[in-house]
Amino acid sequence: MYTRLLTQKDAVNKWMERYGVRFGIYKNGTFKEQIFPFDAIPRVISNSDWTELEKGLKQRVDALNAFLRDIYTEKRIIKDGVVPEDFVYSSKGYLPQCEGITPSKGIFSHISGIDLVQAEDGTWYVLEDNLRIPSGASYPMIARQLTRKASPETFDGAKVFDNRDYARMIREMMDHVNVDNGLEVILTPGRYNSAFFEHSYLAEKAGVVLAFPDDLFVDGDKVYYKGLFNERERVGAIYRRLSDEYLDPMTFERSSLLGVPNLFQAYAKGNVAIVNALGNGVADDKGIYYFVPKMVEYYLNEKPILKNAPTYLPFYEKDRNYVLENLHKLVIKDVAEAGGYGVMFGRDMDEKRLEEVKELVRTQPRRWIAQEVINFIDLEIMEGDERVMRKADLRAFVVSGKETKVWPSGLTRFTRDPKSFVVNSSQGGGFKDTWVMAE
Amino acid sequence: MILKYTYRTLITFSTQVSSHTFMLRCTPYANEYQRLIEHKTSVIPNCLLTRSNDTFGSILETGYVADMHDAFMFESTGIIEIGNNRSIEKVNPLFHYHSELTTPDMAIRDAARLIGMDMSVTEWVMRLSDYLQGHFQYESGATNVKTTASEAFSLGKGVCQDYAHIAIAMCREVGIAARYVNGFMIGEGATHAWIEYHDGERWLGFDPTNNRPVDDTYIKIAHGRDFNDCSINRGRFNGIAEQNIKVTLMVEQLKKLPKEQTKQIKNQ
Repeated sequence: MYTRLLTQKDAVNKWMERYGVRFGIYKNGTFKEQIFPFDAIPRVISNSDWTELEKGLKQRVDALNAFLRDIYTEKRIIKDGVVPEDFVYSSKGYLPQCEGITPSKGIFSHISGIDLVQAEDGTWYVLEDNLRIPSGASYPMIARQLTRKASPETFDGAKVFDNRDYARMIREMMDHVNVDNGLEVILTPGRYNSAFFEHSYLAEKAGVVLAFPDDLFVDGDKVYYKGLFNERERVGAIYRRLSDEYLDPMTFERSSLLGVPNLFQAYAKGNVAIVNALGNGVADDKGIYYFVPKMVEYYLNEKPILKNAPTYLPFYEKDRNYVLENLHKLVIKDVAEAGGYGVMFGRDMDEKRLEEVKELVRTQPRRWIAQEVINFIDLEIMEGDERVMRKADLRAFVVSGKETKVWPSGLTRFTRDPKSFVVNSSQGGGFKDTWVMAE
Repeated sequence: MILKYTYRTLITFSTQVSSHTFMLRCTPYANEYQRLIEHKTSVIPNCLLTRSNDTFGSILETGYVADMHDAFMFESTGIIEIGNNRSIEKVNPLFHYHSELTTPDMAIRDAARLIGMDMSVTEWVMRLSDYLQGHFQYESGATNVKTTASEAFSLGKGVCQDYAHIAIAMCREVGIAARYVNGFMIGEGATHAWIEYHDGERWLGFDPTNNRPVDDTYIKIAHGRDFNDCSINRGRFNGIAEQNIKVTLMVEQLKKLPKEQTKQIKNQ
């Protein structure tokens, strides 16, 4: 199906380099940009597999949005004893400032990145929900654009869903939430952000303005874009690529030089849509993850289609005892960390380390979750001219506007290290295009 | 008691600045025991001020000065009637949880446990305050606005903000809901900080710096989890300038209301 494409892999990687498809990481305090290596063998998802996955993803994201609406208003799910209060109030992602605020059109998570792996028996497991600023959609987009260019005949016969309309999905969603028909912008923290390529690429493809923090200001609780000659243009929707704590130095981290002062006030008064909404971190906290299947039942009254990886919360005594007894075969994660940091495998620890970690679990039970290690499938990648098998995951993108839509593609990331189970672009590794078959 | 106050901050910049955004929390809190009879906030350079309440009910005023200026002044004046400093406001569970500046370390945890448990909440808070008087020393300049409860506690000295943070950390540690309060009081030339704790029925004010319950000589401006929720002003501007900040505060008791106000109240 894609043999011809493989002969063009060097050409595609060269194009990518020219386009500046890069990924920046901070290592030992310095910013380094590196090529995000592209593997030409696509991940292929059959149509029937996708249909099920799509249903499950929509359901999950709808439940997460319902949870966020509830948490910042009535908190029924706490009152009904489904989610313990502790997991909300002690979550770093919970922002009391957002209490009582309903964002434009009631949507909190407009763009959700759901990380999944497929087990050897074909079952998909959700590893993580990313409801703040999930990145990575631009990579399969440009990969498709370039592979079509390098090997058009590959796509003649292959019945693959086109994935180049992601930017249009984003644009429609932004049009839907836009307040007072204002300007639409993507707010980037700047050149030295690990995903800057993506910010500029998406702005261009979606036909919205790429704004730097200094381009925006707030006056009279409304947001304006500062033009070249200091004229002001009202802003109606901001797809921000800047995390909550740095978004507004008047309300959050005061030392932030990246944010737009008083942006929060404009948002709280309903004068601008912010994509994704503020305070979403309370729903993609690794501790809250445990409760997502329960949310599906609670809010939608449906049976959850997608499975979580088997997870234990040391917060509950029964789970804590299980974790302490079985730590050697579990993977343990710090709920406050992201990007593959704070992930430890029990099987890699010696006796001394196991005891240390157990002590941490005993003294700070709320800080950790533990999961069974899922034996997920390997995908073929090219290592030089040789085909080898490596661990890979899938980040699926769900866009919630007028309707909830799943992008028929996704970012497939793989690890280059044959022994590693941590698949994350912050940890090195590469990516593949994801082909969803139309029939 | 009826109090008249004037609070003023004057910031002078060593060079001109522009695109100056600011947020003020300098208007007294309105609740069942604090009634604003008269109030005005003014800023120089003059600009559009928009008002809102933050998530804890404190009054915010925000603005934007686009043009170049080398000084910024804001002034809050008013007349306010203060009652018994007790509030039956519902407890937000958040005030049971530790916040950024009040997360306790082992030393604070141990100190909180040493106070004992067999007493009423109010008695406990008073014992805590007695303990602080013996183990913590007032010294300005020893700490800054970013100092946490744990840092101040191990240093053994600080200002009203630090007294309040440590007291809050200790209260929350033993399960008492507590919050930070920023405000004015008779006899102080700058803002003051104290705490409110919940005794199971109502919120009560306590001033750990002065080791006494809060009475009607205190004007509450804002409350929150800790100092971060209560800053009286925050600002950001374009330009590289040194800032010189001058704060003045006058709080005095009025024996009776000025004439027009008395009329207005009768009419209500």
